[in-house]
Amino acid sequence: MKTKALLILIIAASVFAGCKKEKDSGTVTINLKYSVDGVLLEFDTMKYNNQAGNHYSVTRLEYYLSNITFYKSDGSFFKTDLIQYVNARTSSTNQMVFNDIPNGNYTGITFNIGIDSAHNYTYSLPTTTENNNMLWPEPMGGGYHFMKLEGYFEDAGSTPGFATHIGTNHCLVNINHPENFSVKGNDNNLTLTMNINEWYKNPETYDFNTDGGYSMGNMMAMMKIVRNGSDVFNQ
Amino acid sequence: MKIKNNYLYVMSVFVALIVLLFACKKKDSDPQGNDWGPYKPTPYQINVPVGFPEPVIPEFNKMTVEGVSLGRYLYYDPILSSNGLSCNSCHIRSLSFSKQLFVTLAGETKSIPPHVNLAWNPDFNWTGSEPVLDNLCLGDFEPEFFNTNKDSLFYRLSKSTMYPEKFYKAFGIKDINQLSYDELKQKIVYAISQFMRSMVSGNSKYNNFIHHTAMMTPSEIRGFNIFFTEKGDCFHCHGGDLTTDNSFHNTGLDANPTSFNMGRYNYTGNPNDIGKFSTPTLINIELTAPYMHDGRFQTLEEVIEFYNSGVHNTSPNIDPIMTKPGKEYGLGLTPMEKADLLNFLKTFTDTSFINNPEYFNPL
Repeated sequence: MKTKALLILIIAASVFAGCKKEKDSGTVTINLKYSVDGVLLEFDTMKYNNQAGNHYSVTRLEYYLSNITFYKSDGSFFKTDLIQYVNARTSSTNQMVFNDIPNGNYTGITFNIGIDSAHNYTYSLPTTTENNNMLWPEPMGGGYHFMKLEGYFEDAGSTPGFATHIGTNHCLVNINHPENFSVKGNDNNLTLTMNINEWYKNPETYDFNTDGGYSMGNMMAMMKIVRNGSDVFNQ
Repeated sequence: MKIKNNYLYVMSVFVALIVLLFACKKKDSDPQGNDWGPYKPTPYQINVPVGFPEPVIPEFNKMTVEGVSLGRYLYYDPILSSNGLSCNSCHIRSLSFSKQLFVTLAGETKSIPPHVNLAWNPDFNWTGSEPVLDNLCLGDFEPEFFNTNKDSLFYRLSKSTMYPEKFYKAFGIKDINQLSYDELKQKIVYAISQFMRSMVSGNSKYNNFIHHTAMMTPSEIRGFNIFFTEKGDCFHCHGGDLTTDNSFHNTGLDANPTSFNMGRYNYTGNPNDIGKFSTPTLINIELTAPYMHDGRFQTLEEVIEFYNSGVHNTSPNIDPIMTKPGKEYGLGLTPMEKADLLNFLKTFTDTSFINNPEYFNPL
């Protein structure tokens, strides 16, 4: 009798254990960081040099990330619908947490710096102070600034400002970031580091003196920055 | 007979006890015995205009109908001062709750900011020296402003025919005299802050135009286009419905700022803040002359001319937006473009705000 009861208990326990569902997704947290050619970015300090030889500082960096998509090694992908406002000076905006990322081996992430045309129209985003400050004026096409990158540079003894802003649908930056990681029902942390100097080189050198320190309303200047921007997170 | 007497005696005692019980029942009342009913303030909901962000309402001073009402009375009442001044003395409704200038005891001349859409401001004063609206007015009890007499304030408020009840209904305070002076001042300022947060302007021609519910004249539209393109480039600081980015900038007013003109630096001590001031709202800008933090420009024409030709490009920390290539010598606006810009600036005027009966003097 005693043996029988023990047997039933073992069977019940086995069934219970067998029913325990393996978690089929995990959490991926992306942390955003900033550097200039490998050195962590320090705001308000005139100590950086870009490829054109401009000696410069950074005072403002705000942008949007969107269409963040996780690619598996088998070619399948998981797309998110987050449109993330990022202010490099505000730590809370530099972390994105994605729950329910399916288990699997991942080889990369793609995303946009900016907002795709389906969402890039005035007041499409919640009317927060940050979003409203990023509005791209209607007379210039409407929607939102995709990025504001500002600072000062030295120019023949003076220090004028530069404001490399991009916006309008032509200026969406496509990022393809290779990154191998596995999700197995667990928490994963990824760090993406933006190299500020990449905006001003590769494939084209951007010179504040000749290309203009102010890109808004200057499509040629903006497109140069956009083309350079595709690998800002890969260096 | 004896039984009857006993019966009467017992009944009398019973009736007396009942009477005594009712007489002793403590009313929900002040020391004078006024019955104000239960303390049950009604939540106040700000009517947020379309396009506005959610307002910033602190947990410690949630708005109530009774709190806003008390604040409105106090805003207009010289009962807070010993010199006849009230908030309204320097914040006049017809001037969008502003006034021309104020000279501090230190001799600094300051332009008085209007009280409009303050529920959306993250910090206050020209230098952002006060991050909490609910503390902003605490300094007004000082000799420089109200020169408030503590005893007189307690006496006059507690003897008033309306304030004891209003304090009770707004904050549940049954006896003002039980508060410390600091507690009383804080409650006064909380109420005034609630009233100020209720002062919302979202009905200017500009606000309606950007939400496609109003038309502008051709001149105003031309001015709008100067304002909202790189030609004038006003929008980076004065965009959106609130017409302020709620940030700090140096727009090149002085080549070498000193004293009050050093702006936010005077508060933070950070050299990167020299010359920076809080971006003011442009709502009702037509009504709030003179302009800039020190009122140096008397008219909007002077302001436009400053941005057109008077910016000091070498001012420390001048905003990067101000030094764009090709604009080193100013915006190069023609007289007609300046007139168009002026006409556009006047579309920020919201007469329905200054004429809103909810903001009138209730006294």
